[in-house]
Amino acid sequence: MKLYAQQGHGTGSGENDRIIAGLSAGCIQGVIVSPKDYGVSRAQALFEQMESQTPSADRFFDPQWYASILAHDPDSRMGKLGSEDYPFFDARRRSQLESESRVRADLEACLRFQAGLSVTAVIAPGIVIRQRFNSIEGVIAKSFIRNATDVWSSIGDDRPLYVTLAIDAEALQDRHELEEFLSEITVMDSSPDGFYVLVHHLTSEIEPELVDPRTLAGWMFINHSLNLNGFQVINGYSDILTPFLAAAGGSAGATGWWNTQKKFSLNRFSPPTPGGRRPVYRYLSAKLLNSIRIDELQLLRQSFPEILNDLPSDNSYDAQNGSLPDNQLVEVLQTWEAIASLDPDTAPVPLIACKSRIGVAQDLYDRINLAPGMRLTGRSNGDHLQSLQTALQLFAELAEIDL
Amino acid sequence: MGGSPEVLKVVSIPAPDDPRDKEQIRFQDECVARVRREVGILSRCQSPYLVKLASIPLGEHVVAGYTYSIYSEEFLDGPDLWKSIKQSTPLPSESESKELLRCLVEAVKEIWSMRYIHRDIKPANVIRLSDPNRPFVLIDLGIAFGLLETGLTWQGVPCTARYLAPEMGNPNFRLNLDYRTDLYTSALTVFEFSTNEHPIARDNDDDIRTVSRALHQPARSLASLRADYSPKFCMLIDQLLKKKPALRPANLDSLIAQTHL
Repeated sequence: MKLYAQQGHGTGSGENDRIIAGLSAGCIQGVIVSPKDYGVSRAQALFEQMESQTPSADRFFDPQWYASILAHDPDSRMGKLGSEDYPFFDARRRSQLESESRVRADLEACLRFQAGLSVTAVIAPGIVIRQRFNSIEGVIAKSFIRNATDVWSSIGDDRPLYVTLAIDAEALQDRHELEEFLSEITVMDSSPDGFYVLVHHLTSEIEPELVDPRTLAGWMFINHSLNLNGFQVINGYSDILTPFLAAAGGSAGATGWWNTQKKFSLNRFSPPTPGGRRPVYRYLSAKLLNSIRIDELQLLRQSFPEILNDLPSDNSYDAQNGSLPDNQLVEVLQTWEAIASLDPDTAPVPLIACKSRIGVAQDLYDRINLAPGMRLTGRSNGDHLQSLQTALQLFAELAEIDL
Repeated sequence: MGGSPEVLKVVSIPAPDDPRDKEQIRFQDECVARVRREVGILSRCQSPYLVKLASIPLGEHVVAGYTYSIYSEEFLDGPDLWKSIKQSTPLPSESESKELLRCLVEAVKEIWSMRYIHRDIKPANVIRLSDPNRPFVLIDLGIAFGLLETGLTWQGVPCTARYLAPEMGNPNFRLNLDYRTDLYTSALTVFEFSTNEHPIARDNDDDIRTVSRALHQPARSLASLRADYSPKFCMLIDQLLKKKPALRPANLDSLIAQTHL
C-alpha cells in the first residue's frame, strides 16, 4: 500500500515543507498536487525537487476539473485554479459536457497541460457523479473515462494514465447501480492504467462514525473490482480508511493536514460560510483506528500506553509537554506514519487483518470507557468501529467473499 | 467431398401451421436468421479454437414441403468433454485444465472481437482433439448474441440451465450482457472437466432448482476438489465463477497469459 500526501493549502516551504518532510521521513511515497492551492511554478518546482531528491516517489497533479461546474458562481472559491496559471480550467455547465466533442477538447487541454509537468503519471479530468450512477452526470463521467485513453494516446506520451472517478457517497449506496456501472467501466475497449477514485461528501467535517458503512463497502467494492480487472486504484482523500481500501485491492490512498484534505467535498470550492477556527492538535492512534485530541492522549497514555503507536513520531508528542506537538508539520507526519503502519500488505489475509484490528480497537475502547473519567467522546469515540465492521461485512457480501 | 471429412449440418426450419399466423412466421424467420448468423460468425473467425466452416455453403432447401438450412462444418475427430466427464475418465492434470481455459478464452476473445457472445459454452460444446495446436475446439454458436444487431427474440432464457450464467437470470439481461458471461461458463466447463463435478448444480435437481442454485448458491472452490492444483489457478477459476460480472477478471490478454504453462 502506498500513501500519498493530498496536498492543499499551507504546504509550507523550506524546512517546513510538509511534503518534502514526509518523503524524507519515509512516511509517504508520493504527492497529489491541488492546483487550487498551488501556483503552477510552485507545483513544478515541487515535482522537480522530488524528481531529484526522491526519484522513486510518485508525482500526481489532480486537475480538479470536477470543480468546473461550480466556477460560474462568482462567489465560488477556485483559488489558483481559476488563475492564468491553469489555462485548461474553465467554468462548465452540465449541458455543455453532454457533448462528446466538448469532453474530448477538455480532456486534451487538461492532459496536454499535465504532459508539460514533471509528473510520473497523468490524471484525466472527470466530474462528480451526484446521487445516482444512472444519471446525466453518470453518462458524462463515462464519456470522460471512455475518451481519456484515446486522447492521451493522441498526445503521444508514454506515462501512465489515470482517470478521475468521482462519486457521491450516496450514489455508492445503491448496490445495483454500482454493480452495473462497474460492469461497464471494467470492459471498455481502450482502458486507462488506473483510476483516481474520489468519494464526495457534502462537507469535509469528520464525524464520529467516519463514514456510512454502505458508502465504505461500495468504495471498497470499486477498489476490488477495478483491481481484479488489472487497474491500479489511487484513492484520494482516503485518510484512515486507506488500509481498508488497500485490503480490498486499492494500490494507494492519500491524506493531508486539514480536514479538506482528509475527506473529499466540493464544498471547499463553494462560496465560504462564516465561522471556523483552527482545530486542536490530534494524535492518530493505530490501535484505536482513530485520532484523538492531544488532551485525551495526555489523559490516557499513562493508563493505556497501547494507544501510542510506538513509532518514531511519538517522540514529538512529549508527555512532559502535555503531549503537545511543536507544530502542524509534526502532526501530519504522525498521521502519515500511523496510517502507513496499518499497511495490510504485511498481513497474510488483509481483510481478516482489518477485521481483527477492529476487534482490537473495540476491546481497547471498552477498557478505556470503563475507566472512571476517561471516556472518549465526540469525534474521538468508538462509533466508527461499528461503521467499519458493518462496512467489512457489506463489502464481503458484495464481493462474494466468505469473511 | 475430396480431402478432409466434413459434417453436414441440417437445421430444420419449422413451418407455420397457419400461413397467416404472424407469430409463427416470425418464429420461422428467426430460425433462419439464427443459422445465418452462426454461419456468418464462423465465416469471419480465424481462431483455431473455433470450429471452421467447410465446403458446402449455407443454403435453404425445401424437401417434401419442409424447409432446411444446410451447410457443412469441418469434422472434428475427438470426443466432446461431456462424454469424458460422464465416462469418469481419469482426471486431467493442471496443465490440461489450463490449456482448456486458454483455448476457451482465445475463442471468447475472437467471438467478442465481433461483438458476439457465445452464451452456450459447456462441456458438450467443446471437442478435444489430439492436435497439439488445437487441443480444444468450441462448437455451436447457435444461440450467440450480437451486441450490434437487432436482437432475435426468443422465448425464455436461451441457454442450458446447468450452464446458466447468473446474469442471464435477469429479465433485462440483453441490456447488460458482455463476454464475461462466456468467461463464467468457460470457468464452469474447466471446473467440471477438472473434477468431473459441477461447481454448483446437482445431477438430481430439476431445472428450477438448478437455475435457483445458479443465481444464488456460491460455487464450490476448485481447490476443495483439486488440492493438487496450484492455489493461483484455483483462485482464478473461483473468481471467474463469481455471480457478479464486475467481479470476474475480464482482461482477456491477462487471462491468456495466466494460462501459459
